[in-house]
Amino acid sequence: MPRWGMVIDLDKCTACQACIVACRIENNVPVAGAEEMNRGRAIFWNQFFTEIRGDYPDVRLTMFPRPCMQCAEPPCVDVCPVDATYKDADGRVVVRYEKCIGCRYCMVACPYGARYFNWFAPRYAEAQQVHVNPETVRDSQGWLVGPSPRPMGVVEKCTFCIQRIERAKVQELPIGSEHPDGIVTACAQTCPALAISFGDLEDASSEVYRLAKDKRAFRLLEGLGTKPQVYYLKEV
Amino acid sequence: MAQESVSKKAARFDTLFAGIVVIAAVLIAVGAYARSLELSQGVDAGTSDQVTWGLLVVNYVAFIGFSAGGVIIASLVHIMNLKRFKSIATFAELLAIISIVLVPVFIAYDLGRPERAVNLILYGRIQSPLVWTVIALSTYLVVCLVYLYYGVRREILGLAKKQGRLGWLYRAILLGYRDETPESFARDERLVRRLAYVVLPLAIVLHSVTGLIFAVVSAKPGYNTAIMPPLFVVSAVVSGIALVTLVIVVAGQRVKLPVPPGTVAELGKILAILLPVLAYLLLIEWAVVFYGAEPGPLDVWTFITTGSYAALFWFLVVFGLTIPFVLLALPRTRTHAGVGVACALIVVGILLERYLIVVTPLLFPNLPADVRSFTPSLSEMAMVAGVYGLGILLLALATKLFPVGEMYLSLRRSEPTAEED
Repeated sequence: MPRWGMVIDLDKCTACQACIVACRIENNVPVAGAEEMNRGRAIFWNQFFTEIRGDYPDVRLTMFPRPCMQCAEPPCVDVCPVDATYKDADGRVVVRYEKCIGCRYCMVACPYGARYFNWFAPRYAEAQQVHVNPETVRDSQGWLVGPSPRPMGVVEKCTFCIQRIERAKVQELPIGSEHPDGIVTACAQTCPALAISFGDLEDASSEVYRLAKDKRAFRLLEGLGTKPQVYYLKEV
Repeated sequence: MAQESVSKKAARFDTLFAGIVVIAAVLIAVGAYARSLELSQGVDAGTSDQVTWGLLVVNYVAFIGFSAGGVIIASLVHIMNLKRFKSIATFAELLAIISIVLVPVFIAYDLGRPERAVNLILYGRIQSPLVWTVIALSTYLVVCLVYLYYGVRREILGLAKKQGRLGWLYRAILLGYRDETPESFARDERLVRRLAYVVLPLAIVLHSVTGLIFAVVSAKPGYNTAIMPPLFVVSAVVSGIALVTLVIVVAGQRVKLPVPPGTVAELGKILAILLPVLAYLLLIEWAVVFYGAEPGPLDVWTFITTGSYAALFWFLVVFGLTIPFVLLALPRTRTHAGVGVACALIVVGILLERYLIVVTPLLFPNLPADVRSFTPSLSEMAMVAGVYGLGILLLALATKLFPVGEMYLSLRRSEPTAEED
């Protein structure tokens, strides 16, 4: 069984945020407006963080994208009262949209803020309407876990583009950044700086396997013991 | 004589009762309307993706806590053998049951998909503290209902014998029970006494589990502390007794509750002992947080004590803890009215405490992002008011339909109520 993972090289990242946009279009997340931003209800499966440390003239700026960490020890899964979110056989944390009761306990438990609540029914701006992804993914028990139809009143999050990976498995296409035309997540595919690698952390020949063992590799909030499957490579 | 006054009362139009029912019904309707708007037009509560739990969860926690009052008074009567509280024990239990019944309503108003709440039973995961609460709360409700039923069965039998307009209701509730022998009454009393031993540990479990909902979240400093479960137990006991006492002071005479003289002052004294315990737990928490330099908990408690929530916090300290303690501790102010004021302040104070504990830790993100503010929305307040209305309605109906207080006096007056303790 594969264990999908991601490595984001912050030395290569130019902070262009194309990954954020690609994610939104791939996964049918409506473009957020000013109102949603002000109310703190803008859904960003992949969110961009900016951290400014120090005072002038010793200022250091760090920027990084934050997909779901797909933790090996996911606190969100621990607290779910109805088995609506779980760690699947491929090491992904997925949400069964039709099972979720919308209690939002998982959002409280997630240290990364990677989970979002569907406050409203989706409203797409005209430009996005033509790009709505019609793909539907169901898990082994038949629960909807993929991007379409979009749910409402439940919690949702990054799925490592489960629709792409599951389709690639069926069509027997290569998966992972190490393959020349390997199937990867939308964020990894779109990254112009090739900063995002995607692949199987169990496969010793994969790019993510090698990079995750790099000297620069670290994970977010490692002290919490969540063991993220998304690694970052430190800026040097 | 008692019979005469009851039938006369039934014939007269009860303006106050009608007024309370109308106000409660309006509140319920407004709350339900706010909820329907949320379901059809999107959730409008003041919550955001970061501050994902708001006023409804605060009240959910608070009302689980209020239910402790009935249990504590029952255990005072049956475990500590304080006979003085016997005549109010079933009334306290009624308040506990109403508090518990409101809890699922708060949840239903908060869930994104309330129609799927049944998944908690169909797919409940025993690893989740929310499922622990569901199990503890439903067990507790059943035990409390049994306790109340057997606690007032004798009075209901008395009501059924009077052939009033509601005779059919009492007979239906008695399920064919007609046994008026002293042995039968003694059997009921024995059952109620034994249930007190069941319900007390159950209450400790329930309130601990409620605290654990928050304590287990290791990502949230302010939640993630072992003081949470005991703090929730003590907060529950304090707020529960305060609520029972407040209702007795406000409506005790009105619902003809047989309150032996000195009972209210005695309850006040118990609260005067418990309030410092609550303050003690909070002080220990702060001592550890403020001694250390760990930014997580320090940020949360600095925000509460000197930041944006300072006004709420100091209101809690002064009006929720200190003034009630003084009012209840001094014999001079431990009057009927004094205890009433103190209890009202405690109830408000505990609601504030719940608010600070539930909401504040959510304002702080773990990753570098802004601290979010939280303001309850109108829609949230309407829903909460609606549930309060439902509680008032249930209390008014229960005391109106089952005037067991009057029956208690006529049936058990001969028995000792206020013994030396």
